[in-house]
Amino acid sequence: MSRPPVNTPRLLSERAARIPAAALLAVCLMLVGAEFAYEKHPYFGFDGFFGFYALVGFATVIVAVLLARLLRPMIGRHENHYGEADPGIAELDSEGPTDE
Amino acid sequence: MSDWLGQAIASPALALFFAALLVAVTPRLLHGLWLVGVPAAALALLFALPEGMHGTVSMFGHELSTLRVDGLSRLWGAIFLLSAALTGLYGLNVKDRLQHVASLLYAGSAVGAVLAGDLVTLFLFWEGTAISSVFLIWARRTVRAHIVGVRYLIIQVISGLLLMVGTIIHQRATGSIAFNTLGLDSAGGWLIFLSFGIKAGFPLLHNWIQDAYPEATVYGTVVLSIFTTKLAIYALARGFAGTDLLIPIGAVMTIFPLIFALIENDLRRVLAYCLNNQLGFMVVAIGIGTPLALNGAAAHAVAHILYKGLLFMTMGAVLYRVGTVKASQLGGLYRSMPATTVFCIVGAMASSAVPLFSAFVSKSMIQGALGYEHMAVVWVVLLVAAGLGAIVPGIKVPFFAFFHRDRGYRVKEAPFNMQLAMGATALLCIAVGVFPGALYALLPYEATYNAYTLSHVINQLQLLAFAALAFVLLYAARLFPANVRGLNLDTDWAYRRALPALVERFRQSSVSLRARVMHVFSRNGSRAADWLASAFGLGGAMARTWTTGVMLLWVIVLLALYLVIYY
Repeated sequence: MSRPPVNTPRLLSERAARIPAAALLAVCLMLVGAEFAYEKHPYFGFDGFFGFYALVGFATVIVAVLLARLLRPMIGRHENHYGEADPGIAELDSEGPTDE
Repeated sequence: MSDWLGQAIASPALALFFAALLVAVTPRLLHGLWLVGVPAAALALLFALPEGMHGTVSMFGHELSTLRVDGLSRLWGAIFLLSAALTGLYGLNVKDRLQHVASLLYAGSAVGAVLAGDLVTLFLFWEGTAISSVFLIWARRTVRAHIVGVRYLIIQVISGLLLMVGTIIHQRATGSIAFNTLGLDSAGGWLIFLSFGIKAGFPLLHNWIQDAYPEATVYGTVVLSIFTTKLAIYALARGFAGTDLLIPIGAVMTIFPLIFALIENDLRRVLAYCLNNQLGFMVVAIGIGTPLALNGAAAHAVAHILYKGLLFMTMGAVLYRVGTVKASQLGGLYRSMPATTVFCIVGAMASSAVPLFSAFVSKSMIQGALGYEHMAVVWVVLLVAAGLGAIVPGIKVPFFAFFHRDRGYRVKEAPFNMQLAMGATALLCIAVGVFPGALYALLPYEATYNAYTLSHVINQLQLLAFAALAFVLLYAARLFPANVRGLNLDTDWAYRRALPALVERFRQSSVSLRARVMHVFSRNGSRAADWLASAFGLGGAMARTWTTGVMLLWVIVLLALYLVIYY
């Protein structure tokens, strides 16, 4: 470590990060478009619906993240909750530096 | 000429034990030979061994088979030995002999357990993995590592005890100690199942993984991530294939650890949760029990050991250079550690089952097996877990460690040997994905499977791309859980907080009870004390010197009393 940590702007707020984000969106659209071009082999039937996998991928992450956000206040504790934190952290009175 | 190949001495496990001895006594210059060369040689030895039961040893009045070589044990032995060589390379720069000796003994025990043909041999090596591996945690030499190591060891030993008692009951019931299909028909079977379940991280029994793995050394965590849990998966595949109960257990395992992983700050702990989730896929597959599913479990164990080992290696490299793997303190490391960044991304893509990477060809076998058996609900659960797996660890680990915000760390790239090990593992992750035929040829059962159909590839890409899109939107909207310092309660709360609190309350109440009793005594104290003194004190009746005649008289009286009572 040659320098102490400094906070710089979040990556996505930088212009450069918009390019990969846009590329991802384009890939997503192409993959949905590809649905017209190939024959599906569903195991059950419901997995053959248009955009089924896209919907599952998208909805799963949204729901799981919202669930996790609900869970955090319930189970989140200070690093020294069990009295086993490293000495430097044990002395912190409040939550340490956060991300946001 | 190759008569010795059938003897117990030809065990690859013994080769690793011997290497551990050599590491302990030879100069450091030679360690590379023992750490990388011996596991590689042992791998060759494993493939030279003919199939069948070998290495019979008489012990405790039983014939033990120390070397069972068949498709299942050979595949598991091979991946264990291969990963022992890779982790040996990764740890070459570590000066601490203790870690090298422990990791070789640990790997040797795991290989020995996989090759065990009977439950007694399995038990001996099972305990060997527990006792050797704890030193990889203690080697961190902090107070916390010591405490965590003790907790880890207690849980591992409980698993061993369950296996021992289960084996005894099973032997009494069936007269056999052979380690084949055990089933849940007997009490012995249930105890052994529970023993395997602890090490496989079943829900509610899982927390030792997330508690202990992130607290080991840089090198130790990589080694730990490979053996114990996959040994348990092997044991389940051997003893409980087709046990229906495993399907719901595994399905729960695939989901809930990921929710914890989403809000965990320590990136090695994030990986430990995700490891737990991947074990769930294998447990489900073993529960299905069809040849395709069991092949899927075996293939996924191989793929999983490689990509999870790789991810732990990259986070180890970050810990080694930066001094922390807490996401709240990391970011922007791609500038300083570009090679490690690439390896981490490869590991993440392999873990997310991106086509052309390893997990794609293995996880899809399990998903396919569920489809063919028409298990719609579990199939959806595993699909959801696969989608979420693209975010944790897929995006969370590489993104928050190497990109996100630049925290200003300007560190050196990982040591050369670490890069070499990570590079080799990354290549294997890709090779398995690109040439799945090589892996499929090693699988233990007859089942043909083709992962690369057009619909399957596009379906998977849709799942992953849209999961990634959801992440980008959540992140941009600042809804993705922020990396906050802190810890999250898990089932370890029960034995770290609730149980000690209960014991403390019991102690307090017994202290107050004692005080009350003493109070009663002290009130009537003098009377009771006087009586006791008169009976048992120096001058008391019981302390007097009795003559032989009186003693004899009493003996006769007592014997007469017996006589009266008996008639």
